[in-house]
Amino acid sequence: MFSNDSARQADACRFCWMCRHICPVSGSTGNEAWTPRARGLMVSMIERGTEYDGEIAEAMYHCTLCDACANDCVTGYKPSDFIREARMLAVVNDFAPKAIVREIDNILTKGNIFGAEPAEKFLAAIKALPEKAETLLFVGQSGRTVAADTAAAAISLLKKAKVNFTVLKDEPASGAYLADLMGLTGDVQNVAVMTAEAIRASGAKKLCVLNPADAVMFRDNYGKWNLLDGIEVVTFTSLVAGLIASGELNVREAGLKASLHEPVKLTRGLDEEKPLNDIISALGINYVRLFLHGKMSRCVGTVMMDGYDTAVSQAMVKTRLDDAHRLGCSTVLTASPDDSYIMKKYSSDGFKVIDIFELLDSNC
Amino acid sequence: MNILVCIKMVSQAQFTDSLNDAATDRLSGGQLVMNPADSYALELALRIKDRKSGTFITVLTMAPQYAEYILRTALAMGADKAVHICDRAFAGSDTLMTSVIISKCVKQLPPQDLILCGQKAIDSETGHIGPQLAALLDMPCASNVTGFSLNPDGGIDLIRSQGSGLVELHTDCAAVLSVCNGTSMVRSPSIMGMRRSKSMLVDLVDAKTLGLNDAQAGVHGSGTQTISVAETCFKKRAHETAADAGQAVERICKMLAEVKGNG
Repeated sequence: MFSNDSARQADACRFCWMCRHICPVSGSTGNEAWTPRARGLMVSMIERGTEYDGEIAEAMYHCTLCDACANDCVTGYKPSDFIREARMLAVVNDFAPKAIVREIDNILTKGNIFGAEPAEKFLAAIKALPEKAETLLFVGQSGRTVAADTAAAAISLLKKAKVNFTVLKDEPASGAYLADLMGLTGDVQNVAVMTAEAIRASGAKKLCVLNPADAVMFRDNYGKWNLLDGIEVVTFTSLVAGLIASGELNVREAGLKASLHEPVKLTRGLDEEKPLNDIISALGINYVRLFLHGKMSRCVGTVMMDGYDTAVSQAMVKTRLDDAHRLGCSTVLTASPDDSYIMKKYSSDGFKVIDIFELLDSNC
Repeated sequence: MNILVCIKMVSQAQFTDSLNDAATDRLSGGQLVMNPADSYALELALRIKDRKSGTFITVLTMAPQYAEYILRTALAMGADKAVHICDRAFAGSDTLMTSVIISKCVKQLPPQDLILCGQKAIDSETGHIGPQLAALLDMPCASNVTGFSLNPDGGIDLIRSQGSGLVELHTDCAAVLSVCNGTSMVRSPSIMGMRRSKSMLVDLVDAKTLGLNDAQAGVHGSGTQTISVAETCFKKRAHETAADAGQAVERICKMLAEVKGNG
């Protein structure tokens, strides 16, 4: 049923169980079936005759695809590869969880995983922007809808730095969430082709990506498919760090003690820890690092997981806030629209979650 | 329009991984995928199908049973029919015998307007199949094809890479094209394509169907055999950069004197 590569990966396990300890989902929930190795065993069992059904598919979707397990795997394999294939097979064979099917439909019919209309705050922020500009800010699905505060702050920062930029009013999905939900299928490629056309039509020479998940998609897959030839792709974080360094953004110190939550797609996926630290330094934040930082960053959840199993999302945020509490911080800084949305949604009394770009905007 | 695309299953293993395998077993040790140039040839065929209704694409492979996976992939990408030439008697066939077997199978299919092959496979890298197939089927052949399109007045316009330039060619008759690996995106199977391909039949063709026996195919029928496989070692040559022509001449003279002195 699985490709020979997935079957080989699943069989390669040496049972060291490192992934079991490092997985943020199993770590927050204690559910053994939701460890990377358990999912690998499921693939092995399916290859040996066990029927792949909805129950196994549930376990395959209880993963954030954060790749923490791949970071320390002694075999050098990436469980997220066979998990993506397992998800593709679940969708093809029609036993993907209902909530997942709804999320896929939302992306394909409404352009975002939430099935939401663009937020008023976001629409107001992009109102006066030009049709075409040198830089295109790709806001992403969360920024346009549920995390509009982050998007509005990002737009405000670029205006303050006098960057010649615009935002697509009808920005399509990058395909990043869709690829997480159903693997890199032709459907994801079709979305990518349409989105690349819209980006090229904007005439922009630089694509600045607010959501690190989208940035990984652009770098890894749009690059492989030659869809954005001649367009430079940068993360919003690195662009802003550059604007601060060049003096185009003047930052006042925030005088804050906080725990920084590093977005895994940024620090592990794109290896961009430094620009984030540069922004934090410019804000003069006394921040406390988790032991798991940089390439080892711990995922706090995804919008896909939140729509699928809110209890897991809540548990993951609680684990992160407990970490902050142990470090003596009651403020947690986020640095991606997704993390900002999820952490603000489930933050408990006594904790304050602040998006770094919102903080930067109010200190520039 | 009927298009036949010949595809090969290859292993993405490092070359050194397969050195200990039997010379005939190059599929051990790595991820099994459709040969990149073959998947690009299929992509070009599918682009014709996207534009011209009535285009019927058949994919064909000659491989062990487990290669059905790549035929299903091709069907899910949009091919209409899959033919699997599969028989233990064919094991160890050299490129000419492989072409003979494939040509016999092609003759049993409806007439094809185009036969596409990848220019070469990433494992054996011979590039023999396309031209040999053309000769055996008595069809014209163009190799190193980088792209082709249907001419509005009929026939096919194609571009062939040749040395330092590109050559535009036109054919009005059925032809065999061996296609280079391109840089454009090759489509992945869609969800609907995968669902559709699950219920599609793959035509199995064995030696008996082609009227061949053990003595006429495989190792016994092949004129060449792989004796051994070894890794090539390239010595890294030292090089120097001179600041100007005078310095370069001086250095070359010195090196020549050293060579002369050595021997």
